[in-house]
Amino acid sequence: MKAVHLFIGLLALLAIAGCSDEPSDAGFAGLADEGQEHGFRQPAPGGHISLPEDWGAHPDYRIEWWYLTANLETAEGQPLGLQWTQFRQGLEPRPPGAPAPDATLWPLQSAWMAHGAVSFDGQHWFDERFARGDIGQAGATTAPLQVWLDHWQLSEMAAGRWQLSASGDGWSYDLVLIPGQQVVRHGEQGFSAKTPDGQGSMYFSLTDIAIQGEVVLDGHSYKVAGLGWLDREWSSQFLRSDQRGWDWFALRLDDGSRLMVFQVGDGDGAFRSGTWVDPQGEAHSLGTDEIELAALDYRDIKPGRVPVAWQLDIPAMGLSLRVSAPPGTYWNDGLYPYWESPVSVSGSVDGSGYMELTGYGESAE
Amino acid sequence: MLLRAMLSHYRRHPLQLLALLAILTLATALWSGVWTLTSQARDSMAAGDRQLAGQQVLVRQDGKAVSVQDFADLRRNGLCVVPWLEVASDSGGARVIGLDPLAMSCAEAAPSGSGPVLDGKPFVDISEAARLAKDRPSVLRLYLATEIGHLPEGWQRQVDPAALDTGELADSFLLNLNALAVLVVLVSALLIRSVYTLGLDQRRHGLQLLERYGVQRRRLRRYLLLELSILAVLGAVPGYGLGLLLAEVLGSGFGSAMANLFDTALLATPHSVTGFLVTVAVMALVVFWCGLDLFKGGRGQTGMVRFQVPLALGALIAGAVTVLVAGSLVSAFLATALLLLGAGLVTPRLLQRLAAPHRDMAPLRLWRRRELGVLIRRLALPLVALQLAAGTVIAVHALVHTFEGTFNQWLDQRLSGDLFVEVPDGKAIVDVVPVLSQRELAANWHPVLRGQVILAGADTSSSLDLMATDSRSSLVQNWSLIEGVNSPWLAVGRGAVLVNEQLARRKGLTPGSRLILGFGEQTREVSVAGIYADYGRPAGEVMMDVEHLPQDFAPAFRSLTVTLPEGSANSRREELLASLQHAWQVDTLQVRDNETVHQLANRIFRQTFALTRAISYLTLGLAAVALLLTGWVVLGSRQWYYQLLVVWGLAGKSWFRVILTLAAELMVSIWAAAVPVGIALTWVLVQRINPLAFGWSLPMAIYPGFWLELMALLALAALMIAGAFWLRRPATGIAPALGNGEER
Repeated sequence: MKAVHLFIGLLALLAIAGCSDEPSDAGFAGLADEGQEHGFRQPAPGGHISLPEDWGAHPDYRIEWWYLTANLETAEGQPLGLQWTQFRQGLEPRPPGAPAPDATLWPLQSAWMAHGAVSFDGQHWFDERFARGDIGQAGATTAPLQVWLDHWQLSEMAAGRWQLSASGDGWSYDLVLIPGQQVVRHGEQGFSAKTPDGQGSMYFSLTDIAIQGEVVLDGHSYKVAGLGWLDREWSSQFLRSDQRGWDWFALRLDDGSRLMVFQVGDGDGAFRSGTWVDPQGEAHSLGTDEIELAALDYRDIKPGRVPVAWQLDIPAMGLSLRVSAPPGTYWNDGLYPYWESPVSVSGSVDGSGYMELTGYGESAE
Repeated sequence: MLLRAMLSHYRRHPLQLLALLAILTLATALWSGVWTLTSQARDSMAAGDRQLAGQQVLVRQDGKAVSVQDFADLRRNGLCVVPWLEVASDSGGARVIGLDPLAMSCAEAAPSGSGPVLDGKPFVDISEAARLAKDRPSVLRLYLATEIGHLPEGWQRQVDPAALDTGELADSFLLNLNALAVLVVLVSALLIRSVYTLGLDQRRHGLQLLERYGVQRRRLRRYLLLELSILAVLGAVPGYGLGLLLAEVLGSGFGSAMANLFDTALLATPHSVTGFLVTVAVMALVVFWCGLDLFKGGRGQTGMVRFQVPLALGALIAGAVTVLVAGSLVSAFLATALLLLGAGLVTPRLLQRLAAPHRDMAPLRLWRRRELGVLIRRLALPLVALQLAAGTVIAVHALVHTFEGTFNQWLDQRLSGDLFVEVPDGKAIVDVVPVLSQRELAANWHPVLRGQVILAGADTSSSLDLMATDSRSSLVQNWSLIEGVNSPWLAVGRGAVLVNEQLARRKGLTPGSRLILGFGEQTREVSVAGIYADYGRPAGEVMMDVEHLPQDFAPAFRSLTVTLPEGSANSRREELLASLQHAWQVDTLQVRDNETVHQLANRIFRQTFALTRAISYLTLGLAAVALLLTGWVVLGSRQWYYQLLVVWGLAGKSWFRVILTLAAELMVSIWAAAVPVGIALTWVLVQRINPLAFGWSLPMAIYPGFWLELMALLALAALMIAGAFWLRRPATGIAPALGNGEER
């Protein structure tokens, strides 16, 4: 769910382009109201995830993404954060098995967007790319796994071995990923609720991808290695119009456990959900009542005020964590801007991970 | 009450009201039509320039058309290419452009994530354009939006055809049309003013009467101005609509002409209000001009002003000097305007001098001469308007005819051959040499290779078209060159090149000049052996012998020009084509015959001048109608005099003869005044404006046959005026009474 907002950016772009229905309301929230998802399949409790098929695109659903964040280290031991995300936004639903539209007609059944970012030494590099679907410029296939937009791509080199490469202004990376076997299905067998009334998405993650490769920043090349977290999520629902912004955390704790937590909205009305994967690898779903989340410290950056330190408690699991972003501005200044930073964890147990914050900054007003 | 009294004039002279409205409507239609077309063309060019500023087109080295797959492949190779799908409209005129805003976001200039605003025509989403392209001609181009070092294999850069030096030429072409539109405005303003002031003159008594009844002169003038403004609006509004219609009707041909002449598409740009505002502004100026007369005393001055002759001579001299030294189109037009102004000022005075009676003339002739002098003075404005309109028509006619003649002759030279066979991709010309060597199949043949070459200059390099052929072929040796060294074809056979007139003018080349041409990595210095005419294209071109092309030169197009043996039947043609297919091992061949190419070329050039011709004839029509009308009014106001002739004992037929001769003399005077203007304007058009506007010049030619046609037309007008008088002729012997608006 964490990246739903980015699609609104896409929709806005298409609206600018004059080639899609205009959003019914200004901003991203207005897109979520009922009646907007007509024709697209809705995820529901009882849905299940089947692999490897679900690595591929779901043209019968409205939105989906492949979302990798990684906490790496250079050969000198300096931390380096990295993001690669690819989104698909369906504009017209296509039933499973139906033929793709004729590419020579430059169809616009779907639009794709990719984000790439690198965070290192207090600096942040970011770029984004866009494409229309079904013409070969962007897409996702399962056998072999390939997700691409222009020359940015995640591809399966051999069984259990992937390659990821992307580049932008002043940065590039070329990485080898060993995905591992363990797949975490969030919520109810992969159906992850996003509202109290049961709307949600299909959502699974690979939490421990071994990564190594090369990152080039402003002409300097760095050998890097570390762990990545890949989210795979699809849905047909946007945020409800009374929900605004969300905060998402994916944490790798030193005791071997893994924790994913998000909250939609803020204050008492916030909807919270999460998954705790115990050191033995068993996933436990967490509901709103089980998660306590509060901002501790803010940073004033150019776009606005962003909470960069959080107190995250899961009393049932005995977790009391302080999650903080390193110094710097980790603002993905794209069509729809948001905060995406590596974080360090201290408290009842140490760890590291990634944090995404949306709904902050001027564009959220 | 006052209003009713004022408007009673038009109740008594409804024809005058109708005529005034008609002139207003037609004049507005003409200038707003031309304005709409040219501004649409300018907007199209500007829109194209904005989108493509500094960008290059990527083309496949194998010369095939690019596809969606090519686009995706190049993007996956990391190149920021953006698609541009240009689709012709169903009427063949304005086009739409399909863009992919998502793809454009990678361009450096674009802010992150933003695409262009596609708010309808001409830019639409590429999927919409692709839908239209299903049943309309279209072309897909891939623009390289960011600079990169090397291209993937199989691809090469091509300077965007729209970014050639054609922008300036296309602009000049439009300036040409706008100048014509300005002339239309000028002519129609003269006409409107003359018709209006004549009407005002007729109303003099009525207005004076109103003044005597106590209506304040200021109030009267205000009402008159209001009346004029209302008339202007009543005439201009339908005129503007008609103009838009005219633009739409002519748009298709104009669009084709723009595309053919300048590789510039006429885009379906959104309708702008500028055209309407300009129309309103022009109309306001004309009303203001007419209004000036009101405030100068209510009497229109259709006569002459002091210092007219020195002023005219000054304008003529200044215009002549400027036109000789003009280096830009704007200065050439200014000079032309000065010449026309001078001609317009001097003509009435000159004609009056010529019409001056001698003392020893027969009484009737003397009377006629005096009356002609009066008419010339009274009709000075419409007379000059008709003179300028007729002069323009003479010049445009000469230009178009000279062009057609020259072009046909040139086309015959360039297309000397019966068949043009395209060489299929991947096939070699050498494979069919044995076939073409058989005398019973082909009497003569030569290859034509086309491609691009870089002209290295001191400051900048530019891309040129290159044409290579066999300089020994008798099919090319009969080309007549504009300029050349001795035995130019021999020189070409030894490695020299020929250049087209456009390139020669642009770069100041003469036979013997030297050029540095870049073929891929290597450059070569060559000498210019001659300059050939190359009509209808903006691009510079060099022509060289096939033998001197670098080995690795990759032509974008190859064809064979073949002459069939004399008197060979259609079966021989089929046999030749079958043999070529067999030798190349292909199933089909692209073949065009001489006649088809001729027809195509002629169609293109008819379109090119259709608009110019249409405007000039419409202007002439307008001027003629106005003259008929004013002639009718003026002669009508002189009817008392003419009736005196009857009282003096002139028989009916003799009376008619006198009136007819008078009208004919007036028309011949106008014709005689128009011819020199036409000749001068022809010279300015072909020798001065055409090279500046199109890049090539034409020989000067005159067509006296057409002058006679024009005179016949004017004679017809004279006959109509005299005929109308005959119908109103007085009964013999009755003393004339002074009618309303008549003078003694």
